[in-house]
Amino acid sequence: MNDDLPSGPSAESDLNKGIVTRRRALMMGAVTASAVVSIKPALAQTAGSVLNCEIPVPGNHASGGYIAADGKVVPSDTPGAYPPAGRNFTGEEVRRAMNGRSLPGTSRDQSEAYVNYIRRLQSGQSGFTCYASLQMPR
Amino acid sequence: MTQKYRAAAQDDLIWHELDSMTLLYHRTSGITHMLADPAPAILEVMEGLSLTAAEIAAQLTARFDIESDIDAENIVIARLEELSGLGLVARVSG
Repeated sequence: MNDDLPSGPSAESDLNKGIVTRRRALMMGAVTASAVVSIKPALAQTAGSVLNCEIPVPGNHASGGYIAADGKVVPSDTPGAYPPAGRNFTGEEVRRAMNGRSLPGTSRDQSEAYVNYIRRLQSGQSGFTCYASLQMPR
Repeated sequence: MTQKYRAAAQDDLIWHELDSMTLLYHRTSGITHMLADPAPAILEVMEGLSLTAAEIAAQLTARFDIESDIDAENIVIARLEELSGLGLVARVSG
């Protein structure tokens, strides 16, 4: 069945990177044939949670840190960095900011720094699930 | 057609191969995607570069054995649009 597979170490080493290299036939399918099915977490189901959930800037994991223009959390004496936001932002406020408006009570540059911080959130950090909800398709 | 596309950062993706499809967990959205061919191959050849659909189709043709009687570029465009709607690919201004 696999008589067309090449012999050699490369396919195996690619497996270690998490990507399997297909070296032979690739089924391209049709233009109209969808190739992806997505499994959304249950948190995406409630539209209200997206509007009302809150994102602290920064979260507890970086409490007291300042926010650099690129969104990284930096020490408070870092030139050009912005102080912690005085309040949490709601999912709806962040959604608007990602569409070009500024977060309430912030300058444009400050808002961009905060949004960059939010984009960097990882699972387990305060505000991540709220931010993830904003990214759900449709 | 100068529209270019860029795949989501590899650091944001966890790949898992199944028999006939690929599971892809996107950290930033928290969504798991089940990908069938040719979607995994498209993401694979993009490799963090900004590429046009024609360039991606050329890469696929170079790396894989693809049926000759199909319009690979148009299929690639359709899959890129599908992937961009899911946040796995971004449109980049050319």
